[in-house]
Amino acid sequence: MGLFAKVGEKEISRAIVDEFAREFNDYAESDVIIVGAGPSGLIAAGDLAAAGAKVMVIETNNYLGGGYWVGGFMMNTITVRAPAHKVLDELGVPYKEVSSGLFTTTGPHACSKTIARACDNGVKFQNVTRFEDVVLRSGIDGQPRVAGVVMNWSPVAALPHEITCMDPIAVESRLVIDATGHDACVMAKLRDNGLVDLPGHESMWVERSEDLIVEHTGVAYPGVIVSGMAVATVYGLPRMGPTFGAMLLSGKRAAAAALEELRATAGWKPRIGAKARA
Amino acid sequence: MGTGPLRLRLHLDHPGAGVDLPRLCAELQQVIGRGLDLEVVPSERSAFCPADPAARRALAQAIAATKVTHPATDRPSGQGTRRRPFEGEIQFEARRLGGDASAAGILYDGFWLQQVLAAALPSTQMRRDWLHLLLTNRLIGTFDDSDRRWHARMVLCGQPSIVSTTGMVLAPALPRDFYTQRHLHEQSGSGVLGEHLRAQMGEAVVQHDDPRQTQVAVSLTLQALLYWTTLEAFCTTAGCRLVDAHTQAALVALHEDEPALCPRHGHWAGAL
Repeated sequence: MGLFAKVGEKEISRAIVDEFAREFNDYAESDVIIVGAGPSGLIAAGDLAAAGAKVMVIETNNYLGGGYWVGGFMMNTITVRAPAHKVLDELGVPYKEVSSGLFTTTGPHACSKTIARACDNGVKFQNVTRFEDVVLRSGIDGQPRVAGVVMNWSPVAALPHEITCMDPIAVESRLVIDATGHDACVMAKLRDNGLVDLPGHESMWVERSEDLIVEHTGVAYPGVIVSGMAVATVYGLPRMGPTFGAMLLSGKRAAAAALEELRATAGWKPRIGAKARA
Repeated sequence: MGTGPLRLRLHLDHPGAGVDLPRLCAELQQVIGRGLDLEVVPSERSAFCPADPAARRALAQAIAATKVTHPATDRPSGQGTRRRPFEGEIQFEARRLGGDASAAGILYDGFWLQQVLAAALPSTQMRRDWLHLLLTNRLIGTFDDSDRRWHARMVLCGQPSIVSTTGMVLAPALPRDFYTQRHLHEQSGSGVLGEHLRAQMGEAVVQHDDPRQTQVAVSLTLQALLYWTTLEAFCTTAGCRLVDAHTQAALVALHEDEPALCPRHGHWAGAL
């Protein structure tokens, strides 16, 4: 008699395929697709799902969290400045105040709790998945509006083009949040399509850039909200140093902006009692 | 100049906690006296905070277009020669005008911003006996053709004049040691920000929300008044508060103790 239940390989494979397919099928149409599972994307995802939105997060890496696991110089102490420590309170992450208004905690603790909160609130994660393009529709004003993303498995991008031709697939959503950091991949794709002109981030006036990031977080293009470091790229704001307060607050602001958009959308209703997916 | 006192109208745009407004006004009245009709314009009456949503949006869009997004390559230019601002930038500026946002750190083309603000003023007040002055935390810069660089400024004279509290912190040069340390930290990847190095310099430099910004704002307002009434930009007499301070050391030295005007400019102020 072994320790574990007697289950064959075929049952395990079927369980993986069936569950993945069922879930993927469900999330082929979401309220919000968040591209990038760094700190701002995770916070936005957790808040939106808590408010009843159907949220899928796409992350190109196998792991979630982006640069949230470590602070500057690959040291895993991360810093936040007041009032962003209130987000750590909300997450149940312990921290200490090292000087007036400056708080430290460990990256692994903060990152894992943020991921767990998003999962607990019912967020669907699609990791090892690379953003390829946007789905464009004509909005009610006749102008183009982003209505989803085109994506593919991340490893496909690593294969030589000569030996592979693996088409991506598209999923639809009412909104897309660009939380892809300095790359601002979603907005960069709109730039490549000639729809926007990105100024790129600047490094000259670096002081107080956290406030600017938070205050610029919001709708950048019909159907697209920018969050976190992508905000700096989109609006040509100064780069930030290795401090996470703005990422957390930008994520919260992105969620608030998305909810405002969703509530103004005909036919949208929050899912009642949204919680962790079984 | 008209026959009556000079009408100075102060408009506030999030100048920050360092400026004690009643003290600033009292000091200006004390220096200039009866020659100055000073009023702090409430935001609901300020031409720079239009209540009408369409007018506010138009002003916000015009201000957003004055951003210098690439100091290394952007050059001063007139309206319409740069990219059209994003909706998010316009909304940010509109929130600022409405008082719901206050972040500083963006560099604006100072002369272009001045033109945009001037266009918002009533034509009846575009006269020599009216001077509008915006006290703001916006960072303003001007492009210097001689070295092909943008330079942050504390004050921009003209109609309207602009006094920048962020400029008080960022425009005057810091001690050489600051730049050496910052370079070393950047090269080592230590993650230490210039902002933290600046904070460590304490009272040797003017900091954000520094109470000394009140006296500096008085000096810069006097500079704006001097230019407006005489076309003289600065004073070259050592110790006069109208001296153009290029370094933090000079700025701090001018404003420790009791900043004063030189005899010539004391006479100018009394005769206004």
